[in-house]
Amino acid sequence: MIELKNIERSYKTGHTETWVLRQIRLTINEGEFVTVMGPSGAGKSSLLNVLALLDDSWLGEYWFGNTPAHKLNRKQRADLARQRIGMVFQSYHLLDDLTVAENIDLPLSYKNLPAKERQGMVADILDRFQIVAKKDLYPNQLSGGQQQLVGIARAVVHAPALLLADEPTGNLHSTQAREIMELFCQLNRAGTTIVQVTHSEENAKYGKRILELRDGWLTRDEAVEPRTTEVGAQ
Amino acid sequence: MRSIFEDLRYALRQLRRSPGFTFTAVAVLALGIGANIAAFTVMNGILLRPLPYVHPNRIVSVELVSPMPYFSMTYANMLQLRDAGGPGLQMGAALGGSRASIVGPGGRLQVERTEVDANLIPMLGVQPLLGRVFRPEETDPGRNREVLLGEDVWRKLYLSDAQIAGKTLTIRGVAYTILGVMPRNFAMPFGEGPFQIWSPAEIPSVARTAMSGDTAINPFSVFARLPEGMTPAQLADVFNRAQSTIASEVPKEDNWPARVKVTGYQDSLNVEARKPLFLLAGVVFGIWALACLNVTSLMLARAVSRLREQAVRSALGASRMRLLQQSMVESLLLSGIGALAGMLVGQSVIKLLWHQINRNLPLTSAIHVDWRVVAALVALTLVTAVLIGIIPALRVSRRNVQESLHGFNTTASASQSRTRETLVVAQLALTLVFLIGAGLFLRTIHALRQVPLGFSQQNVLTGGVILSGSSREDANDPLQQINIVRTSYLPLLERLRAIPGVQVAALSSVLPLRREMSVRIGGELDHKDVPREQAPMADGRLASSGLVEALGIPMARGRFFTEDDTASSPVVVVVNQAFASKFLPGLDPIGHIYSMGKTGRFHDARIVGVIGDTKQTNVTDATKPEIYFCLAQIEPGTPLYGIAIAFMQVAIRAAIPADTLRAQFDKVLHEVAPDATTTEVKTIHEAVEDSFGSQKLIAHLLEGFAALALMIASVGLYGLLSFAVAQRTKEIGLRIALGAPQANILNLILRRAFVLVLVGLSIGAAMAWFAARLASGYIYGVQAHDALTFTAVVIVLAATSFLAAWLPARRAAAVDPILALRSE
Repeated sequence: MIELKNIERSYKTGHTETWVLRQIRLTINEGEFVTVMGPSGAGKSSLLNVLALLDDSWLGEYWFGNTPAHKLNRKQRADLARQRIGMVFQSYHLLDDLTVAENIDLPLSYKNLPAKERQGMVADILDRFQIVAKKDLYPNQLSGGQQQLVGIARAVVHAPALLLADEPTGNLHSTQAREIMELFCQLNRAGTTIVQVTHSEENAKYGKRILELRDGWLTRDEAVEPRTTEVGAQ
Repeated sequence: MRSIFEDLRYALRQLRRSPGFTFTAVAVLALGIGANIAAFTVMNGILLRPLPYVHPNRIVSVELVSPMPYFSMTYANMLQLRDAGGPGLQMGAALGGSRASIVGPGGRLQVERTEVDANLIPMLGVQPLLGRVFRPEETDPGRNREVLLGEDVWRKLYLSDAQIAGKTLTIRGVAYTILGVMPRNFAMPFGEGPFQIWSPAEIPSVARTAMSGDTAINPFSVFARLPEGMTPAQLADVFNRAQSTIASEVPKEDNWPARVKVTGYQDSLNVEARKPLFLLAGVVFGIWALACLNVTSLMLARAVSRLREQAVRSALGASRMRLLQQSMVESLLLSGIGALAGMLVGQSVIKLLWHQINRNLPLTSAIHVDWRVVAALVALTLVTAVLIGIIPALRVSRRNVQESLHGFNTTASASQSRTRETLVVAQLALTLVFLIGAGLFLRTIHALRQVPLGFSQQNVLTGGVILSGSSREDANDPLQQINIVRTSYLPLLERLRAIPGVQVAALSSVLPLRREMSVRIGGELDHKDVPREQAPMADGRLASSGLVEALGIPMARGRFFTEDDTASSPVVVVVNQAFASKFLPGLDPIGHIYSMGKTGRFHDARIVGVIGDTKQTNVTDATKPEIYFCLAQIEPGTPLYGIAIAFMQVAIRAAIPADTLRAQFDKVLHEVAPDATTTEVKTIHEAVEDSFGSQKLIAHLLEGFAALALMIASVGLYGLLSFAVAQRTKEIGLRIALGAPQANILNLILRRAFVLVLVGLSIGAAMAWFAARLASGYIYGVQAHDALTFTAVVIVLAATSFLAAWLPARRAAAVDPILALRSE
């Protein structure tokens, strides 16, 4: 599904150039659950930003399916991301002035979908995540776990092919974190390709493959035995 | 469309959640837009709204070009020009105007009656609402007892009677048949006020050919409709060719003008108002610019605080255009709400200043909201929305999405801070200019009020009285066959003096600082025949006894008129000090003889008194020579009797507030002369204030604008510093945690404010220096670069700015370091 060839990223500050990604070669297949790990400053978030097509300043080749993202302009990349990619953030990044339903609807509002279809999709997700009762609440009325749940719902409402999660449980306590990771497993079993960045070894066990970055280099790429426990979304 | 609706819903929610920001932005925009809409409403009525005629831009006024003021062409001259213009040319004339008091089912109403020829109304192309217009034969002598009513007269006096045509009304005892009703808003002449009626002028056949002499008649206005494809200049050429021939056929001693001026009628009505109105437009534009600067600054701060939200939207797929759309919808909503509030503000301001506007500007009857004003409001709303929204939206859309998502640089960049500071400096500079302008005009009004007037303003009611109502000699007019001084004016004086509370009542043809016309007369002093340029020319007045007591004018020498001065006693006159200084310098004027005419009683009028000089039409002009004749000595056939017929003014000094006598004055007048009409009944104090004219209006406007500007600039400075404090909360918390005293934190914020204010005041002072030069033609009693005004304004603005800065500085000094340093 995704193929990266010699992806490199650097930041210039004054006369200094700092490399955050060095010659990344990577293939991610459809349906994989990949974990990216490494110490702070290793380039994990930078890699995620490249995969999310949020970052334009990288070098190399990035193939999303058969689409050469490296040859697309900004607008084309944004269109591709809007259609095929969903993102979950550590800080949830829900909009405080929108209700749960409106937050979930937000990415749909940027596509040219009929209102009825959008309403239907939002209703489906609310039901699937069992948060129908909370659809009219505002983020400040929810717990951290519930907010992250909404964040994930927002990320998958348009059924993206690829779900990217940047420290999705970083602000949650362990019980909530477990629930979120179980949810990711469910989504993965349903066919969503997931790439998560995490410091947590525990979270890493939910995936099938671990990539390790150090100083911008991809130093490890190995399979992991997947967990077998099932816990429903709450 | 759907996305716009969603953005609108979201914007409404956002604004509701930020009441402080919303109120401030809406209030500032309302004031800025309101001032512009008020100015545009006035300009629209005076300059833009077409006159209520068919193709009004084709209606022109036609005048002779003569060095003698008020020289008007005769009706015969007009007819000859019409013939010269060819069959396609229509011309018409207004030949007389007067006030009349008429009674109908709706009560009594004072109306303006205009006598017109039969061609004028058809030439304007307007069909009557009811009935018909005049026929040519209805201007023949004895056949002109018809009248057309204005729609407002019909509605108010005749209660919109649909059967009005054919009914009669009475004017000064003469019955007129009502032919019909003209449509709503029709007026001719335009701008003379409401409640107009029209009647056919009496045009004898001899007057149609008499170019000059006693049989000629002089319209006060002549109009033409430009033929198709012809410009005013082309018509003027045609007329000038004809007029040179016409003038050559008139006796040389009549000095008949050979040139004609053709002007668009609407242009001729508003030409003097254009410059002040354009100046006003410039000033209100400055206010609007100030408001936009202020709100843009607020929007910039708001945009910075919503960077994270914008980044999330962008990460979720919102394109740059979509984010811009969202910002523009929000600014359009703000602008729209501000515009609606501004419309209310603008119309309220017009109502508040209506008396001044009505006195100092022409065509005020046309000032009201119409589609042009609404269109201007919509256009201004859109432009404002773009201006206040585009810069903040573009600035924020350029920020790095990833950095904003991860919390990096979610504060204002240095360039954004510089932009906001520049906006605040600009606001302060503009505010200084407005404040200086207001200061100069306030000092002008103060100086005008200090000018010695020569009379007392306390408890004096004045008013114009028109008994005859006709400005033309009319042998059939019964008022010209009887002595109205004896039958009306003297009895009126007696009745007025009998009103409880009245101390003195007097009549005069001219009162100080009232705008009615005066008459210049020339005579001889001591029967000396002197060259024309040395002849004693003076403003001639008629006055009754009691005038000096009524107005509190001191007598410099001799006496004023008494009850002993009658139609059978020797004719006496009183002059003012300006007359004595100019024509009898170094001499005692008492006993000198003033002659009017070669024979008769007025050939030997003796000067019996010298009255103190008073201000006449304007407090700033020097007093001109005056000569008073005793009203009781005037009768039909004597000089100046025509003044008595045309117009007299009443001055009543009372022991009670003069204002309370209005109703009784009106009652007594109509008991003595039921058909009499009045003009401008007001206290002498009101007349003085009104004489300040446009200066007072400008002063009021500038006071308002300056207050607005001060408020807007203060809000801008306060907003900027508050935002800066919010942005630097962590830094301030750290400084306090490291031991910084409160004074140090205060100084941190105030120092920044000081720099901004200093720069703003410096730039503003320089701008005001140049702007003050523009005002120098309008101010009085103060120099354009008056040091006191400049200093006082700088102090006021500095003090207000300090206050605006103090509150955020105090808030900064009160920051809790523990809260401030808590990490997310």
